[in-house]
Amino acid sequence: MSRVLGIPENKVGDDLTREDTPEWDSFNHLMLVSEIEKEFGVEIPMSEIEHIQSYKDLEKIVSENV
Amino acid sequence: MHPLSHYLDIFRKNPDLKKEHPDEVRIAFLSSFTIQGLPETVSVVAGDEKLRVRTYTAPYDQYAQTILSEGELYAFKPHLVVLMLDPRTIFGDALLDPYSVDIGARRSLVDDAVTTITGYARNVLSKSDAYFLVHNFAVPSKSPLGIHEEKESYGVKDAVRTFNEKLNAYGRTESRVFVFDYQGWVSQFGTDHIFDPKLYYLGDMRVSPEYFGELAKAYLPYVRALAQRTKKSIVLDLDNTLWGGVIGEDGMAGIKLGPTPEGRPFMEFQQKLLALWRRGVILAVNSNNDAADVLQVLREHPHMVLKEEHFAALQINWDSKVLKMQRLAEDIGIGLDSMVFLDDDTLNRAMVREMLPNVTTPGLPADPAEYVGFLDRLQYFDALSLTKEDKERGVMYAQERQREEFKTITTDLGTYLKGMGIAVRIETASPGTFPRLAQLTQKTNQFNTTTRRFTESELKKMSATQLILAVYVKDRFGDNGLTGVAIVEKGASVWDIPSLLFSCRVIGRGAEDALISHIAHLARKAGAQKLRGELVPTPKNTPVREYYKKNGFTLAKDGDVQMWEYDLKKQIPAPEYITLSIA
Repeated sequence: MSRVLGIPENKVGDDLTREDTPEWDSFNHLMLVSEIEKEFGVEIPMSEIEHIQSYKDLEKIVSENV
Repeated sequence: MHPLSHYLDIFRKNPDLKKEHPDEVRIAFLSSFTIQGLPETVSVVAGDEKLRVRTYTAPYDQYAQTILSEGELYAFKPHLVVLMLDPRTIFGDALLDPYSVDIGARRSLVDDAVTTITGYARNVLSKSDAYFLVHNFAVPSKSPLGIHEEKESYGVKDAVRTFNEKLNAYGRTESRVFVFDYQGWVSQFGTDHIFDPKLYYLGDMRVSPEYFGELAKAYLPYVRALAQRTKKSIVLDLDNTLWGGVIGEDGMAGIKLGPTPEGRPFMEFQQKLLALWRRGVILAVNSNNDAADVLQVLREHPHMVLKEEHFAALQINWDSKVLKMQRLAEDIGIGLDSMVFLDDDTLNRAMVREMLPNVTTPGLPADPAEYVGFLDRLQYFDALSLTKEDKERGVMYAQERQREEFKTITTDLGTYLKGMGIAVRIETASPGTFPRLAQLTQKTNQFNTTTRRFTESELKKMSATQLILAVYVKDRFGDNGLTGVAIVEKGASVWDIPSLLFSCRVIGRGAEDALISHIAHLARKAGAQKLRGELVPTPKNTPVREYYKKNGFTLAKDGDVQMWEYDLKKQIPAPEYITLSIA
């Protein structure tokens, strides 16, 4: 996430939200989802992609779909 | 394969990649869909080869407005304009439901698409000096007609194929238009991988960003050509490179080469090398062996595809590979930076990389089964204009070796030159020769008085006011074709030569002296009193330094830019042994 968003690693954690992170724009959001899908071997349904608003959301969706 | 974030991360951390640079290649990307991240990836991938690429990206889906306006695209002064559209953009809904319209309508969709795109191309060509690289379309892999699709003329697949063919036909008529074989690129990885429907629906991405690194690599041959980093020669090791085994130990009967499972990879590798030779790549040998063993293989092995006549130079002895590389460069008359060295031995490669970093030394795969695929991917040899001379270059350099051998048989130089049967033809350059002339000005470093580079369009403009002379050189061993250029400014009393050059493979045979003699003759006839040659010394152009002096010119101004003058009261004699014809 740090590499995709171009933010320091120590910022990646439970507090990270889209709202407070200007680097987490719509393009980076798609890149993030797509690279996380590859990395963890998961498929995140399209309808859920837009609902991911934070690190916690992402963590939950990945663990549900693994 | 790296994900897109890998490249973007490098791009972010490397401010140098964004900076302007004198030898940068400027690429403009125009597309009907999201390609965010691709231009940055191209800069990073090119940077790995020390190629500088700066990019401009047209706003999303505004390719047409960007091309047709006079705005920022042209202010960017691109060297290359890449237009990537896809069938969805051009054919619209007809792509999803192709048989909702009849064959006539489908045919006009294709014709209109070609007309539109060639219109864009013409616009870019007329408003800039850039090359125009247009993607062709990936042929859809599925059709609503199922198994009957291939029977349908102007069916959805046929329509896209026809579009691609027409695009190629257009590309053949314009020297500055290139078609990027996107269809071929997609088929290498597969449509299902390249296209990610989620990313398409959510972000209008039609090439999955996962493949941007690969796509960027596919653009590199164009970047290399624009940066004039095209390689001219492949230098080959022999044992375990051109054949399996070691000739000095295994003997001619023991080496692996021929139609057996172990011999075929080497045989096919040689066939591919021969194909490169045929398109103008110079081949040479750098091998630790006894020459007699190798010559026996070259002459007598039934499955040896490459013969003596294909090699411009052979260094087969026990001196170091590095020393042999240097000798090869000298013998062939090309720079080390235009050589690619292929050797199976990692130590040899490391040594050449270390001592001669200008030589490109890629890692040959450990398994000979991979050699052919490796060679296919080795795209270092593309220049933007593949001329007739390019295709014959491999032949010409091999003939050159025979000439050199002839030189060692005849001891007296005068007798040698007479025996060469050198014929020089000088003509006022016609527009048809401008691509080749531009290429000569761009590639020639050694016998080049001022190393000025010109593009085709610059030459065209100059030809209106200046005299451009094209020189063809032929001898008993073969035709070297168009290998010399002079640009002459005809003043009332003084004629100036701002640029004069010869391909290094013809120098030293008197053609250059015949040329200066001819220019003097023309100037005298026109009533000029003085002929003036400019000379800009560079680290590479030592062969040309004595040129004016040798032909009776005196140094009028020394320094970084020298001026040499000749008083035209007397004619400059042409070498007697040359047959000169003027057109």
